[in-house]
Amino acid sequence: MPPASRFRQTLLRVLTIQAVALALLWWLQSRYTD
Amino acid sequence: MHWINWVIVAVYLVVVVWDGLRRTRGTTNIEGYFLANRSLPWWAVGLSVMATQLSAVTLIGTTGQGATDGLRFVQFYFGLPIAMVILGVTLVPFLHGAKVYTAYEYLERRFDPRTRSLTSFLFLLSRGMSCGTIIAAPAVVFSAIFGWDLTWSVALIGIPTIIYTVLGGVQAVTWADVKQMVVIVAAIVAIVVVLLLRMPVPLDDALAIAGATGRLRVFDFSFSLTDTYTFWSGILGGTFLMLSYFGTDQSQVQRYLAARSVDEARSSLLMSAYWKIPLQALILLMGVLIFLFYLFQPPPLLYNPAHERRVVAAEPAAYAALQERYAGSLATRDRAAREVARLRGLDDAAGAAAAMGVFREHEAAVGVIRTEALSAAERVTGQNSKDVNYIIPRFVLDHLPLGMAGLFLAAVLAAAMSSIAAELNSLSTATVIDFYKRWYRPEGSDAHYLKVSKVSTALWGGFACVVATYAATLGSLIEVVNRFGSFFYGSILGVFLLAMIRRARAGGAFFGLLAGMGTVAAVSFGLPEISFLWHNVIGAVTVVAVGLMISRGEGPGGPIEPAVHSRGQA
Repeated sequence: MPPASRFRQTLLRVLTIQAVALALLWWLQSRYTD
Repeated sequence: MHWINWVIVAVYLVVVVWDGLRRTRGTTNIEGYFLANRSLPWWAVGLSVMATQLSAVTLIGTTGQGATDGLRFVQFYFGLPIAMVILGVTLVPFLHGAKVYTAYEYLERRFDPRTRSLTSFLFLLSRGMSCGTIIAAPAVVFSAIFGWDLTWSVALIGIPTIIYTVLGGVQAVTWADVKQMVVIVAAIVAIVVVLLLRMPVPLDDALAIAGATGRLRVFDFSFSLTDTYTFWSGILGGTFLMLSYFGTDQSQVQRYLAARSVDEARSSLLMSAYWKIPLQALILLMGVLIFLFYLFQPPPLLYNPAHERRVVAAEPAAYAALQERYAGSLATRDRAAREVARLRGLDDAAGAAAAMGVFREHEAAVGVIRTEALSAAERVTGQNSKDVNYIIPRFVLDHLPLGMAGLFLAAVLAAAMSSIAAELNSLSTATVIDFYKRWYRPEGSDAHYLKVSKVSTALWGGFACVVATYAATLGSLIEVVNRFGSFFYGSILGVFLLAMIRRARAGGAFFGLLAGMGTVAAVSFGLPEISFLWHNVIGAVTVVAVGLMISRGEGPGGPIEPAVHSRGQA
């Protein structure tokens, strides 16, 4: 796989995991904070 | 503490030191000692990167911050994954491909010796002092909790670390880091499980109570240059801070220079990109759970036992009266919290909301008494009590089942030792490669440099222990050095950014660095309300702008591509 597309794939994976982590934190805040 | 807990701590120390001694066998040359012959797998380097960043201060202080302030501190790390991805495509291939020992060595190839020497010297100055404070922070907590002399606490943390770092070099440091990360994560998970099991009300109700106190508020979208913990400070300022730390600080760069290949070095950094925010959130959540635990179990009025003893001795009657008021307030707060849970269980939304209002009043009353106690402690001792750092140690020693206090203590030691070992290893590398070999003795044998490297590591270890022992009296000096350090962190990043710009020249880099440091110093003194996170942005941008301007008047520069390794230059 060429480096550029490998990088795009890695970037996508990192962003996905961060999005999931932030979504969880957002859910925690909106459910339990007034 | 029960003897079984001490046995667990002793076993941890013996295993770490023994493993370090075992690693000396594979370390016969300087490249092996400093870079493990560039042979380490990505996952070991990745765990080492994480262990280096996670110090005892993170484990103890961040948990305390979670208990008192909640989850919002996690925003500080929002820039980390972005920084790791940027480093993966920019600096990592440059530095790994250049086959350098230190990040600063690359700057000589790209620019000139003065830029290399200045950046390396600034690293030695700030990291040499900060290494002492990394030992001092947990040592002071141990001394207060167990009543030990500070020198013994420093020795317990410093001596085993110096032994395995001196003898085993980066091999010992990295493989010890792997084990230490396992101990740290095991202790965090075990404590979270115990806290969940011991919660006397359903978790959903407990989290609603924590939410009512604002401890589950994570995101703050206000844009402020003065507040460190906002979404935008984390994303923008945090990215620059993490780029500086992971991209230009030798204690981190050396971790991934030891990886087998550029790809493995990148992967090791991405491990932090994946796991840092979830791990940090878990540590803060552990603090929130401790706050919830202490709603239903009376907490100490002062968590710092040394300060508590001194206040009791100096003002016995006043402190006893304060404790009586505290006990009364805790009991009413406990009842109010249980009432919230009961009404939520009955699906009585209106009743639960009213009970939550009552709970908030009692929580505020408890806070007022705590503030009075902290003021008394400061008045009597003449010191900032830093009580927040004693919340988790007191909880662990007073409430955890047998053996878990030992596991936690081992985890605190592991967090401290992993950071110190990486610092010592990198301080020695910069000393030997950037100064001894570069300026004093360029043509020595490998055996000679190996011997000098071990002596240098031991000397830095001794220096760090001395700084740690006198940390209380050196307090203001350390603060000055740390403040000075913040002047050049972003500026050094600016020099590395310049190194990747083709038209940047040596004079531009050197004078740009000076301009960046001067600008940050001016902002720091002139506008002290601006958060330190923005100093890195200001420093880096100034260096690049001034550096490019000065470079316009200079001749052709050096190559920006990774150069072929030249030992004479190292």
